[in-house]
Amino acid sequence: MMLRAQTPAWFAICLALLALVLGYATLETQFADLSGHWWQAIVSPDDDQIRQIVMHYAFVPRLLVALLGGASLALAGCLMQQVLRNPLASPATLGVTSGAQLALVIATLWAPSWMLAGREWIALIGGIVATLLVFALSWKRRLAPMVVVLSGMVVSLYFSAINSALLLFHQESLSGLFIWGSGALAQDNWHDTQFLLLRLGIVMMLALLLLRPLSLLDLEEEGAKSLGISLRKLRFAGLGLGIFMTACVVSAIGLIGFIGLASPAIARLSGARTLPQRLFWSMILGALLLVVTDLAVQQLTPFTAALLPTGAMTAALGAPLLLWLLPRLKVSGSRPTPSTGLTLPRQSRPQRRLWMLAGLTVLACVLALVVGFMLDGHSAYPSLAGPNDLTLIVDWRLPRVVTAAAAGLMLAIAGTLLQRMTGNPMASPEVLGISAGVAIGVITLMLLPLGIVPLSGSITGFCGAVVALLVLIVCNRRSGFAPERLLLTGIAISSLLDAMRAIVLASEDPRAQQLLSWLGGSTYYASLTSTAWIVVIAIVLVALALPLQRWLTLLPLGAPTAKALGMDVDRSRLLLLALVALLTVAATLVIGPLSFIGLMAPHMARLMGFHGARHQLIGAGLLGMLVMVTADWLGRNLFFPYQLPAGLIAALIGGVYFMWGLRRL
Amino acid sequence: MPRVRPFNALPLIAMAVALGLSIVLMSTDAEADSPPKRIAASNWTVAETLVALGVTPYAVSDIPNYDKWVQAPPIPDSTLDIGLRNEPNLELLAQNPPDLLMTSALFSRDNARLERLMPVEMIDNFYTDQPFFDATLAMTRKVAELTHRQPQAEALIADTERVLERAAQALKDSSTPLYVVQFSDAQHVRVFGQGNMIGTLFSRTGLTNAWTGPTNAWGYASIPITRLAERPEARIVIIKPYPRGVGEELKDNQIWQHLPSVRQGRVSFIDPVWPYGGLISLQRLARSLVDVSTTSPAGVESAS
Repeated sequence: MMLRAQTPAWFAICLALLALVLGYATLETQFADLSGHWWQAIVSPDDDQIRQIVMHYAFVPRLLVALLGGASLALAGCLMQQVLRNPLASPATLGVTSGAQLALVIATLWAPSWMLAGREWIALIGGIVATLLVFALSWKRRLAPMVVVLSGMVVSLYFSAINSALLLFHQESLSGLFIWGSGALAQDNWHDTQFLLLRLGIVMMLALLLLRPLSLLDLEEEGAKSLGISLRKLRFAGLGLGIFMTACVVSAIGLIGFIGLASPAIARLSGARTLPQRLFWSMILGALLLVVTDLAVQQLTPFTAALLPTGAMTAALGAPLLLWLLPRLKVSGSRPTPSTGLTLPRQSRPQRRLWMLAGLTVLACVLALVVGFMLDGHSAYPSLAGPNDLTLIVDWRLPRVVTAAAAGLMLAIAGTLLQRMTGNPMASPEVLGISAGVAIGVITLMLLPLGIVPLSGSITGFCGAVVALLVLIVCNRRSGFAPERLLLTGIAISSLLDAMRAIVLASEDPRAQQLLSWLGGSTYYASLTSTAWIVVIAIVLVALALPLQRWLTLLPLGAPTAKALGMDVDRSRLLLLALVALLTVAATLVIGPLSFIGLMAPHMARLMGFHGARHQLIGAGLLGMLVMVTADWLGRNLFFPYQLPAGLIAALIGGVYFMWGLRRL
Repeated sequence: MPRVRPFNALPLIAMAVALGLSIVLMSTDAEADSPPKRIAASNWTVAETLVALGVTPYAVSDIPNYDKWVQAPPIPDSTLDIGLRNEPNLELLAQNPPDLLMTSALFSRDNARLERLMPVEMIDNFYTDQPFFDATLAMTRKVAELTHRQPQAEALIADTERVLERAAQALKDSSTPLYVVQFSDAQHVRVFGQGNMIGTLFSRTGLTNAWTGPTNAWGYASIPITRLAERPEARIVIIKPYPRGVGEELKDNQIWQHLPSVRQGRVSFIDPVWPYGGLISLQRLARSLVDVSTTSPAGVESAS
């Protein structure tokens, strides 16, 4: 009966043929010397023949692990999407993968003996902790889909921030984790294959048991409830299965991007309708996608000095595929409206709070300028700078403080515009993919041959942003820039950046550290000139944004209402989008693509009771400045003379506040 | 008339004493007029060379990791730590700017800005169009010229040449090709080829490199260990340290256990050395490789 859904089968057959061709090519090119003994090498290799050993212990397990891993991730993604009724749900967006990664990094650094006990269990613990955090944050909202995904992304960003900070300080010791983190599938025995096979089997059995109640989730929530299903327990069970599966994959073969998000989407798009069909085809497609990518990567390896990690390559190859699929993807409509419930009682006197916030921001700037480490003989001690240190303050502290403030302001404004425009609490410049576009441009420059003109980073960065923006517009024009579609486009672009980042890190290029620091949002390169520029740009753009409050008040009411009130919705969305893009480009070029502030500042403003468009804009802007300045100061002084990027610290500070606020909702 | 002689001799004596002191104490205080006294280095290779030439650097980047990855020669205790190599702490440097900052090619993005603080020299033995050894000699001489240590530099170079010649002598009969690797994790190694000091040693001695594949700008390739089977007769030389946990995982690694070199005991370990470093690192590596290649194949050392 499943085969009647023709289109997934057709797609799967194409992929399978491709896999066969590539697999045969790999055998012919890399194991030509074993020609005729292939089967014997696979079944019972000769101990003295290293080529047969490689075939038996490396090539075949790798093939199987790719199939199993792809299927497992697709299963996990499919379960998560069904449970949360949200096409954006996936192991990565729920924070499971970053939790697992962080746990492994921490164990490697501080409890290496635990690693011997089994890295899979450590990864599992990390994944579970991340998920429990996500559950805790969304528990009061009865695990409502959008809140879960929002919490997942916050937890994910938070964990990656800690992770990046650790990597910055321990690059040489952690180089192996870079490789693992980018999903190199290299195998050296059959342990991983057995491990995954067993886990996948168990999870599939349990998923089959849950199949009927889960299918009922396709009905509207009320309908399912009236059939006597405890939604909370069902979601808990479904999510739990997905998380367990993900943690197993992550611990065995590392971070594999994209498969968990894309396979279910492709399956649904190409005609799989019921849950059993979707599960079945997602797993087939996921397995084939990963195996095809891995075989292609293996074909390329003899020609490069760098590792091409399969996990990162799936993301790199998958992003264009996702972009191509997007116009065909049916999201929206019956999906639960996102902005419901994320409202708090109005603050009676927001004006006074704004002034307090402004005062606090100014105070933070002054303190950041004055307080720091002073050299005394051969060591530096924390102390206040006096009037004699004016040059130090003006030349070396002022640019960084002001740049941090300007970047925080712009990202916060961009985030507010985006969230109000899409009516979507998850929107932020990072999610939209524009900052990712800038970063892709800059990394591309880095990957090109050495001996670079120093200026051109900003040029390629700008080009990257323009391309990202064009992609956004082309993919979304027909739908009138519908929120979900916009976010999906952004996720696709961001996944490309993640892939490039992972590839660079796994290549063990010594420049990776510099990249990591920029990606983390460092103000290190701020100079007086660049600061002057960024301040002017920030003032102009913010001045442009403030008069738009009518649009920002109407748009969250939904497109039909706004239209009925006489607004040109498409045009205003396009204009707002352009403004967001400009703000993001300017901020990203100076401070890197870590725009956690863009996601958080608007929420923090709302948690503080700033609801009107104008108040939220100003409040978020002030909060963005405050957090970034504080973060920059901490980054400069916490481990003096070692410096942490401001963006990382902002994520760490803001994340705590944000999670606390989310829990209160 | 008799007054003139002591008047003339005094400065001479003082100079002689100062010179003697400076040589004996190897302190940075040379003659008053000339070389920059307080030198900061953001590049470990330059820091290594400075110390090798008898200069006590004023400041060096990331000293704890230097001690772990470069090891010799040790940075003096009085030297200031200025933070990560890619981001020397400018607030710190600005408070008491050194007379000269030696940066690497990797950190040269905003030298113009740094020039306002102190003179900046970009010194690197990579990113040049010369082969590694020539570039390293040029780097050493440049450092010596800037610090007025030319005699010490020539002595160091001559010393290095002697070490290389002795190594070539000792290794002239060695026929076993070597893979020189650093483990990244239990499945991947960095294997060194042309374009760094391992390449130099292979070209200056009778050693042959088992790795002939492509390498990156720093002269290594990241490869899965399966590719170490491509030359079954090779010896595998592992630069310590292992990343954490790798030693244990290798016991379970069927590919590693079945590699011909491993099965036949052609695996050796050498002390940590900075493969991108200066002449001292090169000398240490040369000695290590001679030790490894001339001692009889003594079976697999247990590594942990």
